[in-house]
Amino acid sequence: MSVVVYKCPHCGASLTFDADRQRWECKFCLGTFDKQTLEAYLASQKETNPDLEKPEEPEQVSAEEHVHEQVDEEFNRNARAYRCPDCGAEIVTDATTAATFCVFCHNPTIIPARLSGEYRPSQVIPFKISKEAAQKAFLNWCKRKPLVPPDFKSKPQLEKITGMYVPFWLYDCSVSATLRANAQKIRRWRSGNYEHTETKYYELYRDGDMSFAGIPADGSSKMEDKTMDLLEPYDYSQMVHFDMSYLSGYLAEKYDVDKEGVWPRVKEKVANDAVAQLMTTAKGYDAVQVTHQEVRIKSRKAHYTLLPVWMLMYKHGDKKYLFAMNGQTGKVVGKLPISIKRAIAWFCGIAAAVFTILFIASGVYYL
Amino acid sequence: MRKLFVVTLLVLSLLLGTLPAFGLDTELKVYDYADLFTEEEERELRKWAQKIASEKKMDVVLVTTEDTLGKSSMAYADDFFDYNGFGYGPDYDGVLLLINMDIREVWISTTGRGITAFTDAAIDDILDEMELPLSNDQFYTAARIFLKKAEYYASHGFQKAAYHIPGLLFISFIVAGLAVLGMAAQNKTMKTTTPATYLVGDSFRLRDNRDIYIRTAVTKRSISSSSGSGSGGSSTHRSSSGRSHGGGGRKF
Repeated sequence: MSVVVYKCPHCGASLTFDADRQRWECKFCLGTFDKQTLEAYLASQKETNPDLEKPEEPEQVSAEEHVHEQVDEEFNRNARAYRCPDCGAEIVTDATTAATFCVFCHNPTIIPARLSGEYRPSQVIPFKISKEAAQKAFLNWCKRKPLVPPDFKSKPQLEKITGMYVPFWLYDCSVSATLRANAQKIRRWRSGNYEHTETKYYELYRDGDMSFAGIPADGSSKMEDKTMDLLEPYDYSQMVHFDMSYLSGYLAEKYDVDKEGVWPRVKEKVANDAVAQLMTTAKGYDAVQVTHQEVRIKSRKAHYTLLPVWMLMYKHGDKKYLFAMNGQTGKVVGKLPISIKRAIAWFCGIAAAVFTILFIASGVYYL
Repeated sequence: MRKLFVVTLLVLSLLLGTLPAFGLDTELKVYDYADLFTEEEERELRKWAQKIASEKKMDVVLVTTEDTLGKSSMAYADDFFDYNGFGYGPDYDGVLLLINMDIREVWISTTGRGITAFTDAAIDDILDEMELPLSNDQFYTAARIFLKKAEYYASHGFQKAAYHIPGLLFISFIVAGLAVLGMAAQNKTMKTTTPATYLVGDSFRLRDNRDIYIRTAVTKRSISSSSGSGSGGSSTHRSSSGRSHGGGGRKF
């Protein structure tokens, strides 16, 4: 089984993708390369060393894996071993890992077999936020939150922040939606000693077609769906055709929930969005109650896409906190610990201040 | 403009500060110029008035006179209170009873919190009780009735205000609780997509868009007017010093 390491055309050290400059960088000779240069170099390498051009047929790969599984089922169910082309050490990975690092020489390593055939993503959004920027963004996010324990943001833990390409299914759907609703317009006025309330009752009918593009759902069972949903939205205009070289220097996963597996989640999102869209046309009412709704999916198409996520496991006290950051926009997702002491202090302070103001304003204090 | 304001404030504070200096000892509370009470009676009334005043933080003053210097009972009572520096706190809380022997009239003047504690209804009640002894020249009895009633209404006002404190506490806790909940919510991440995020720009087409009017219903509700009912109101007027007073009186 083989892996790919992208080599620097100058010195032969490994290359990583630099999010700040959107170029490939050699940490050893400090050379940087754009996509064309890298592709030209790879093409020339293929001529001299045909071994690099490898897409071993996925069928064969899975067959081989199958044999392994029978030999040592327990271990192989979750772990796979590869050999690092640089130092020869064994790289042990999860069954879903598509890009990782060699634990010995720390070379970025990509496993093409997990990125080909049905596992070949059609598109990728490359990292836009560098590790340093991600750490800074995280600190900023914690900063102005009054209830975060003061000792929460420690630098050493931030070092463990990891960039990962998470497998997503982006669904394009075209739907037709119907809804019926009761609506009221309410008018109040006074005449003499009476208050009049006039309620006008309406029945609303809406029926419309619309299309949604790129509704995301993560295809990795390791990732919590809720967390991944909160990372949205990604800016799809920066999406590029998939190329393995973007993965160099990051972790990557392949999907283990296929497009049918995520469809129920996507369908629910689509249905909610479609009804909400229809409701935007019911304006000018004081109250609207939907009595009937129906959403029909006319067509759907899923695109397998890798989206960039920074992951950070944070230990505070005995508890672990997981944070995820949109590797493109920098939006941070996660639950920060709450300092009870600070919460009580704020509560008492605000209550005392409000009470004092009300007390003085009402003149009760003088009694 | 600012300077003018400061000067005005200075002059005002000087004036107000010196006001009591022109007057008399405000701690006596009973000023029997018409000589209607005996020494003994005066001492009893004084002790009682002082007790009510210090307990309720509301001045209680009794004045009798045979000469109002040409003023009406109302003006004399108000001015006696204002220019002699009576009253507790920034609003000069207090109540004054004037027995005007010149025209045989009794007048109750209220100030500050006294206005709210002694509503028009309360003043009528006091005057009703005092009318008979006054017309029989039983001035000591009338004065005792006044003090007894004053104590009652002042406490009543006190209880009414103290009644607000749990309410204020409740509001404070609610506000503080909501604020802290808001802060706690900041420690979680909010959704940043809207239903329109993934909608393809111009793909929305409405095939059916009907708003059908069904019917109209009108209900009417009578609004009870708030004035003149119960013990609610206290009518007020301005005295020559510019302060606001409540009060009422009648002949005996």
